[in-house]
Amino acid sequence: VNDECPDATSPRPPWLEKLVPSDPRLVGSEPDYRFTLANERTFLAWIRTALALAAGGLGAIALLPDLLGSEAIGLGLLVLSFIMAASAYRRWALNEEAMRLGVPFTPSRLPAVMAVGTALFVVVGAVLLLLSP
Amino acid sequence: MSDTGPGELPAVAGLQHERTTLAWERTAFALMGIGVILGRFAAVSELWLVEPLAIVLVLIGAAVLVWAGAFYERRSLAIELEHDVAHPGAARLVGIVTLAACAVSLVAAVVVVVRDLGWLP
Repeated sequence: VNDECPDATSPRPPWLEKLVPSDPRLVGSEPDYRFTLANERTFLAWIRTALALAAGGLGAIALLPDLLGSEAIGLGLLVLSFIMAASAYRRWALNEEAMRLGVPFTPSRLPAVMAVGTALFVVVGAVLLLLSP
Repeated sequence: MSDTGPGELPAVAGLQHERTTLAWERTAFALMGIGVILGRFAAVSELWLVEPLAIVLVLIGAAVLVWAGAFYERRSLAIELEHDVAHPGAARLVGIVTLAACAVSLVAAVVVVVRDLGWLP
C-alpha cells in the first residue's frame, strides 16, 4: 500500500515509516465512520492486551518466587507484550489506509504469533508448576 | 440523520461512538494499572530510576481518560457533520506510551532477574 501511494510531503527514513507509518488521512477517501471507529477499537484492544501481558510478566517475576522458571515465563511474556505494543499503531495505520483506498487489509502474522506464544507459555507454566517443589 | 436535533446522533451512530469512547477509557485505566504495577515492582526491587517513569505512566493514563471524556462531544459533532473521525495523534501517543511502558517493564525485569541470579553486584 505504501508503495502505491508514496507520501511525498514528508520524506522519512524507512525504518521509522515501518514502525510508525505516516498519517493515513493523507491517502484515499474517508470510509464509513463506523469502520474507522471499529478499527480504532481494535487498536485499543491490542494495546490493552499488550498492557495485560506486561502486567502478567511483571507479576510472574515478582509474585511467584517459588515457581520454577517463573523468571523465564515473566521475561517471555514481557517480550511478547513489547512485540504487540510495537505493532499496534502500525496495524491501525495500515488498516486505516487500506480502508481509505478500498484495498484488502495487509495480512498480519500478529494474531498467530500471539496465539502460539500465549499457548506456549501456558503449557510451559503448567509443566513448571508440576515440577516445582 | 433526519429525526434528530442539533448535537444528537441517531441511535446506531451514538452507540458506535459510545463503545469507542468506552474502549479509550478502558485503555486509560489499563495504562494507569500498569503504571501502578510497574511502580510497585520498581519499589520492591529498589529500582529508583524506574519509579518516576511509572508515576508518569499513571499521569498519562489519567490524561487519556480525561481526554476521552472531553473529546466525546466533539466527535459526536464530527460524525453529525460527516467530518473525518480518525485521529492518528491520540492513537500514536497511546501506541508510543504503551511501547515505552512495555520496554521499561522488560528492562526492569531483566535487571531484577540478572541481579537475583547474582550476575550483578
